[in-house]
Amino acid sequence: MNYKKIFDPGNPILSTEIPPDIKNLGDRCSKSVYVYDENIILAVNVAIAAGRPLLVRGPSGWGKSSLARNVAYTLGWQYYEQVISSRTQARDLLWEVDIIRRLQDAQIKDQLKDFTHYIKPGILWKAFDPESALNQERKALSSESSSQFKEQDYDNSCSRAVVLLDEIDKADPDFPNNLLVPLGSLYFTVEETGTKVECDSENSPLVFITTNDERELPTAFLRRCVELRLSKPKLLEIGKAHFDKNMDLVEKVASLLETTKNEQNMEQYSIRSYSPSPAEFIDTVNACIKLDIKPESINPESDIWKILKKTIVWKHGRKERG
Amino acid sequence: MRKSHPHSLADLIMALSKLSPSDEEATNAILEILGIRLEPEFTKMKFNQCHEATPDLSPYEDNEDKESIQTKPTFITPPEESKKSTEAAVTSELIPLEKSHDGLPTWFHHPLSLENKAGSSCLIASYPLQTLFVPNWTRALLISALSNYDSIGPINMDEIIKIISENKPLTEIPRIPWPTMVHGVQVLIDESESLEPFHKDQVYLKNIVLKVAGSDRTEIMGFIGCPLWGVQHGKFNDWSDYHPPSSRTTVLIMTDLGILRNPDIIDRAGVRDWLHFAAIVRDAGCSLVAFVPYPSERWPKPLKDVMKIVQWDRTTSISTIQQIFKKVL
Repeated sequence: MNYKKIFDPGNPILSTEIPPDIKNLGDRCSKSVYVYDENIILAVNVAIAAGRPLLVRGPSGWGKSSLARNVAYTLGWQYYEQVISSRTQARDLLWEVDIIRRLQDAQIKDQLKDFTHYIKPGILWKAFDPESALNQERKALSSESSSQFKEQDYDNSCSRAVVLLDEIDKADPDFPNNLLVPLGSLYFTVEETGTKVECDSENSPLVFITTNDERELPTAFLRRCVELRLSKPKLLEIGKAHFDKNMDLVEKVASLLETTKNEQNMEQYSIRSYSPSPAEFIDTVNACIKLDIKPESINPESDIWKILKKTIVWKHGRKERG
Repeated sequence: MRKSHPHSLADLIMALSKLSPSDEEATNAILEILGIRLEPEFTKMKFNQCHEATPDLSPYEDNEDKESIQTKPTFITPPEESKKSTEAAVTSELIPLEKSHDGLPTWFHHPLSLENKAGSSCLIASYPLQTLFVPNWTRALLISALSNYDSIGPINMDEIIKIISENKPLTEIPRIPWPTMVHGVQVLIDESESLEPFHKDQVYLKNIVLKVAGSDRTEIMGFIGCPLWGVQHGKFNDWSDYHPPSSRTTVLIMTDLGILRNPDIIDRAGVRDWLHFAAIVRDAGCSLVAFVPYPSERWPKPLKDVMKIVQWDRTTSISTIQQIFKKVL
């Protein structure tokens, strides 16, 4: 498959940002390790080329969130993420108003300032127009000495940004529809001040949206996204990328996990369909390394393997009970 | 694999111009990711002509919502005999059918075998489900009917002004009530005999609720007559007493409220039963919504004040639901 790759993990432009205390393991803020297949690379390239958000589907632990981090790292783009909860409103991603502080200031003589001082930029504002977001953040903080904004959110060396909106299906059903204009037209207006925040298509952020398919997304929203459904990951390849020096252990754990999913006694946990996720696999291998468990000491009948299985793998089944 | 939603031609042009695919495989992969299907003539064209020619594009015709309720159109080829008979029927003279010795038409004794006449291309007709709610509105109707109102909206300035003007301390920031489905939904499906004509609708609507509210926040149960007589969990006849869900959950019942039932049949729930049930749900701090496939004139009057009854048919719109809910609130 030949095409001009805008995003090419084989030829990375490494981010100048050196993240503090990174554990390069699975979904734990990993930015430097990810196993790509051609389908993922193409989908990322199409999303960048078409200027559309990339909707990443796949079961929990398959590397949806890590993908966004790694793409940002590879492209050398600024990275922002927000985990969506049931209480998240679409406006929270654009801007927030500190109404409590404004009310507090209103009680003190001559303390009340212009409304712009109480507005904080959200992650899409930062991604659309980092310069105006930085100015806004400084203005908001001018009278608030106690808190500081994250300097690493405004890296001048990054021309564009990757934004991760994690677990969009946790939000209320109308949430995606409220993002149609900002994500589709790349602009929004701050209601309180009338400030227009916009971004030209050449500098538009690459927005990753992840979903576990727990809730259906509106058709109008889906039409505006490029979709990527992650295919079943190959544990050995992932193990090699993460634990190259411990391949004996990786192979042993992978083969044992493969047999685990067929075990009859797992029926007691009411497991409907089960396959160990890469995140669980990485956790298991990592536990073995940190606890100095040798490959030769683990086998289906060993106590240590039974405990590992129970604590790291079977929890998945218990979640699905009932 | 799930089909991608079709994108606009502009997306395709941008993707092709920026990624410059140099082989057919890459071009097809890009098209597939964008959910765009080409006419056969175009697929035969060389991939390097993509930028010069204007492709004749046709996005997938059906969206998923349609697919979920409609089966593929089926075609029945009429047998040659029936074609002839149709042509022959347009005559100026009516010819009586030939009758056998017992007075019945001859075809009655020698009916055509469907099996023999139906070739491999002839399928049994399966009509699409004509859903009770307007299909395109169903999602919005459910969101409107099943949402609860929490104080999570914008700041309620009127309330703040009122508190301050009364010289009272502002202990918390009042917010405008905002609809949310965060508390989840308990779906109770009436499986009585009189609801059999609506069974497919019940299943269809149940699936939409699962998609809209999320499977993790939806509990599905069945009952016969009234939930107070017991509820069924899952597919294994696992019956138990009814317990209301946690506070703020919406309880949705798909029932006829016993409207069309013979008083003598055993599963007929009376108004008293429903009033008792509504009281239990209300005491648990939940809101009760009933989808009833009959017009409002037939609803038992005492029930109109204790539950939000929605007419389960195509006359129902968002505004009618809002009006009903205002009355009950």
